[in-house]
Amino acid sequence: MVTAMRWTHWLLPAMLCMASPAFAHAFLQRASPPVGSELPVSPSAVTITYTEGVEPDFSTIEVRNAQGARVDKADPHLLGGDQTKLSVSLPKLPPGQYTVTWHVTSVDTHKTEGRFNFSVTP
Amino acid sequence: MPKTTRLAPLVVVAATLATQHAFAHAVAGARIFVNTNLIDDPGVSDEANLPLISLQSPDGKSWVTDANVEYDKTITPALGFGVGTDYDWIANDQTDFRKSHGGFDDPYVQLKYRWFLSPEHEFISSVAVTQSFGRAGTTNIESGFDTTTVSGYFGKGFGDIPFDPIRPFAITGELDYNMPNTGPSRGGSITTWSGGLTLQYSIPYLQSQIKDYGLPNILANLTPLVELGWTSAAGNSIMRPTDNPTTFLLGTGAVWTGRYYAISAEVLWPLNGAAGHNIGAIGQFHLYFDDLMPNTLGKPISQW
Repeated sequence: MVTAMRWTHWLLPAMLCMASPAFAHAFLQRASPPVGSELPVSPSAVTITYTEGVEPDFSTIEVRNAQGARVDKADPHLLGGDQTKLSVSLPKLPPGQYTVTWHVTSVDTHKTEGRFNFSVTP
Repeated sequence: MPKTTRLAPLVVVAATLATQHAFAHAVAGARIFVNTNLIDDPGVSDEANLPLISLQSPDGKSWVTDANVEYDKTITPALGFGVGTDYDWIANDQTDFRKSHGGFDDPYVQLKYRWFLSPEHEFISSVAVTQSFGRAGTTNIESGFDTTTVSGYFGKGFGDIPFDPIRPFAITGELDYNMPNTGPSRGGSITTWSGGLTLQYSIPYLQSQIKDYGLPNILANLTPLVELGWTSAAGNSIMRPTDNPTTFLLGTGAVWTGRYYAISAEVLWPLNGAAGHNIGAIGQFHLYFDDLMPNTLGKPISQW
């Protein structure tokens, strides 16, 4: 009985911890345009959906062309207020390969980053 | 046949398993180094394996089942400690379980420090000191002597190499120097080297960094891998060299990584007679406390 009571003293806080909102590292879940895709027309934006919510003030998406010049409009923002969707606007892009580099801080302050390419075909 | 000779293969297997400490995961840039089974990964984190189970036959007749549990806690983002132990079950005769026996192996504590991290090059390296306590386990299972182990770890992702087909690959490695520090006991006290290498192919990396093939989750979160574990005697032995032979063990399998946990399974292939005489198996259930409870147990103590 005493042993059982000792266990409950530990178990209850543990269960509360398990039940509290949990956030994790924000990794890329999907992207638009898709990772490694070839597009017949220029996309109007790059939008990345993360596995967790991100802090827009501490998160960036950069898009560069094959020469390394930055081509995005430097306006990273949440799409529709959804903290899992970070977007950056693009001008009309000429055909070529583009590299997307992202750095984000999730809502629980974990930092993650990644990079992928897409191309616009002639 | 002297008892020590009959026990020698079991001691070798137990020593091999005892070096398989601390199975945290690690992140370097866009690379996640998954928790591996034969060697530790190169990171420091808030995690636990509950449990890591292996099944091996050291002599072709008896079977050793080892269940390892371990909890790892960060003190700072780069410094952590771990505590763990193993429960071993030795079945000497598959037809008569009365000839089996089991008990706890040497418990251990570990201090691990990540001294180098290069996110850009997906490179990470750590060092660790582990102390096991030889007479704290079960008689006839524990080693009978304390051991201090000094370890070095590295992990390198190939994501910075401009050739897409090999960018999902990564390698990790571990090298240990195991120093018994309570003198000879039961014929097992000898300084040894141990360690290993892993080659990993990260499908999550492929999907998120190179080409999204739209794979279903069960495949998209999978990391197939090959591991090579190794042990050998170091320096002069007070015993015959055959009592502490070099062992090579190959593991082939995969790790499935979820948001809060990972599951892995591998087939174990003894590459020489000293490493065993039958195909074995190893697997684990692994919890990520840094993601599961980021504001409590999953946070470094320095940030509490």
